Amino acid sequence: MTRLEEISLVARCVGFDDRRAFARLVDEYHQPLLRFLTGMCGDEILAADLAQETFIKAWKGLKSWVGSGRFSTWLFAIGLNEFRSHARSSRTEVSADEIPEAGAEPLKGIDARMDLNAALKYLSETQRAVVLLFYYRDLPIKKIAAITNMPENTVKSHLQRARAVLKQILN
Amino acid sequence: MKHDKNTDSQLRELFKADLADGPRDPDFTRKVMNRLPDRKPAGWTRKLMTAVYIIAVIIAVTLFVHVTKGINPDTLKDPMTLLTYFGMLATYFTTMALSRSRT
Repeated sequence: MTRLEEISLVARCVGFDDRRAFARLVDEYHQPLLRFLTGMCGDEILAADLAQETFIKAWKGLKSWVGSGRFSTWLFAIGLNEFRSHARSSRTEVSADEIPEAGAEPLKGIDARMDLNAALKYLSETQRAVVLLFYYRDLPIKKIAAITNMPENTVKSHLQRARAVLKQILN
Repeated sequence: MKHDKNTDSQLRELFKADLADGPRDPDFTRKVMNRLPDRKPAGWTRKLMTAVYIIAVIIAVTLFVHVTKGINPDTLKDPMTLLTYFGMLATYFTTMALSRSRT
């Protein structure tokens, strides 16, 4: 979906309470959002709930999207905040102590897909968010900084550390 | 730096190919739409505008009938002329409908 299409659909939602326009946006972005949230929380059912909440919040806050960035970027920022709110209340992160040491046996007997999704659990929430936005969504550091509400240098630092952990686990 | 770029492209490929898809739910959009807040009820201004639009439609149809009544029937047999009249009417109604959806 082009930026112009996004702006047009959001304008219809805000100006005319056009629900069909919003449904188009949901159709377009729900699967990428689900994939991102599944990567973040590792739980498909939870990811689906969080994704629904994200779209509800997006609908309610549409007037605050001024159109300066992509709607998808703004949507993912809301999704990440939803995840963070949930995580704050549940605290199910894997601790840094559980990260395998350098030179430890790599994961064996598990296909590549399991490797990656299992490996993500060894990253902190912030590192996970950064790698998903960088490698899966192909977003530049500047946009990731806006979504995660962190300075660009901090994003780069998290990305470097996450990259090192993933290399260690996946190799 | 080159090593990092290679790592980056490998990780990017891995993420695109192997990241879990997330649940596939054909009813996802419907579920979201059902959870949206109810539409705001029409206020008196909206009802007034609806009445104005209905009156405008009646006037437009009356004018159309009046205008086409005075036209030589042979003119109306010309497809392009007929198309032009219907096009003008369709444009008018479409504009009304779009304006109506604003309120």
